[in-house]
Amino acid sequence: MSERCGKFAPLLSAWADDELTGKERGNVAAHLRACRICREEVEGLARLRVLLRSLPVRRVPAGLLTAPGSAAGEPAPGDRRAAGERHGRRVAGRAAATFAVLAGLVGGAAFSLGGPPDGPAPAVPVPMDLYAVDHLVRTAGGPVSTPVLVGAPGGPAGER
Amino acid sequence: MLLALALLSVGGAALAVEEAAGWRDLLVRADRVGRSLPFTGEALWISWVDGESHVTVSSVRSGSGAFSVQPADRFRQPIAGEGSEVETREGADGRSQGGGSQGGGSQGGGSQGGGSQDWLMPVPAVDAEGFAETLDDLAGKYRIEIGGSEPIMDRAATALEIHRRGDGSLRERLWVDDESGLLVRRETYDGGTHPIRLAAYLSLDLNPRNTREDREPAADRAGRSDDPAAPPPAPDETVGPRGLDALREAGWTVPDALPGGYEPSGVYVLKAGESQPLQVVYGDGLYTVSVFQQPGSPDWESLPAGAEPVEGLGWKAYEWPGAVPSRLLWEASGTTFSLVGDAPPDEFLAIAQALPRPEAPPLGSRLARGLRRLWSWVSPWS
Repeated sequence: MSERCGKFAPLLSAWADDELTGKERGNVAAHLRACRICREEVEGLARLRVLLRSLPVRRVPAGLLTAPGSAAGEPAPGDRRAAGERHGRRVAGRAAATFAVLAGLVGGAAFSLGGPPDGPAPAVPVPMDLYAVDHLVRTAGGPVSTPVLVGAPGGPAGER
Repeated sequence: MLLALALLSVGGAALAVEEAAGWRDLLVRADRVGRSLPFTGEALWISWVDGESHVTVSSVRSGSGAFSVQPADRFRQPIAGEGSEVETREGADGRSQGGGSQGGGSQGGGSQGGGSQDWLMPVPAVDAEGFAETLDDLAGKYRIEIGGSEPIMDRAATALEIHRRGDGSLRERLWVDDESGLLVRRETYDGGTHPIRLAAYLSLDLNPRNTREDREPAADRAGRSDDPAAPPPAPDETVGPRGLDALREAGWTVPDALPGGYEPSGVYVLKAGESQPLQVVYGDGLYTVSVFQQPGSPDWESLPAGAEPVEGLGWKAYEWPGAVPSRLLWEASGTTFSLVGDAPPDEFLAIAQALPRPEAPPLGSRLARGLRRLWSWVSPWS
């Protein structure tokens, strides 16, 4: 920057941004034709702008924006609105979770209590071998009329 | 030539009529003889389940309107798989093995004891009209053929083959002793060439002595009690047509028919301890099944030995593989159902699936009932 031309240096950035008009614009143009140092300065500014425009646009995290404000005790109005929305969502989420737990408890209790109206049926012994005898006695008049050929009342018995 | 064909045709028709009369005569005579002829003998039962054979041998006595079965003194076992050859094997302690071992304990109306228990079954009186109707049902569903004469226990016997009309499949082969008229052997088939059950006499004495004295059993009616101090059981009650409607209205299951053409032939209210089971007997002319119902859920711990879970039925049920007649047990809606019979396995399972099965109550109604109970606890107005 030591080689910078002092007279026109403050105007070079505006020239590069095409913000000069009228007489200033004509004077700078005439100077640039004669001054190599200022010409290189303008070309550098132009390259820097191209580089800046090529960078991707990124959103700043909300917390990062509010933190400096909070620390200063003066959050921006937009930050306060975002904080309110987050608080509302947090309360709603907690309410939903509480409701789900309660519903689960009540539902489980209802399912458990909603069994058979009279409770489980009483256990009764099943005289299966006697049933086999009863069956043979009742059906002794069938075409295979000899009871012994219908079945063995003694049950499965036998050996494999 | 034409005359010969005409004679053959007439002769064939006459032969068919004669054959139809033939199998009827054979079965009517077997029915009469089976109820009245006194005899003693040794009977063999074999059933095949999943390639395994289950064998039972018992001594039998018949006469004077009753029939008794008791475990045989010796045990016989097929040598391998299918086949009728048997060998004799004594138990290591000299006592009999198998043959009537029932396991279990005191159930229903009396003790069944262990393997030494014998069984006395009253044989119903002859019902000629009812038997004729049964033979009509038999002829309606099955085709019966006389297969010729074959020796059984060195005695001449006439074979009968019974095919199901629907698919022509072989279902039964019966042998009737020519001299006495008694049914002496029965083979049940799976519809093809494989037997699934065999019941036959291994020996027969058609002139037994001291039949009445020997027949005094430890068990009284149908073996329901062997305790001499026990009061005689009350006779079972037969339910008439009006009673059937009352039973249905009271919530009992009494279908008008079961799959396979099985129709009801009798309904009985039994006495078994404090329980009062209902028995409904169904038949298709050849096979019979009984549906027993008891209010309550089965005491699974007290089932007779040999119970195994049933696969493929779709709900919790138990069977006794190899038992003859077949047995099936399950619970549905607080009622214990027991199915007993000699129907082929496919028809037996189809009948079970046509009866009530356990069903979980709909989730909505269960939750509603539970919420009402909860509300009744917390509400100050209830």
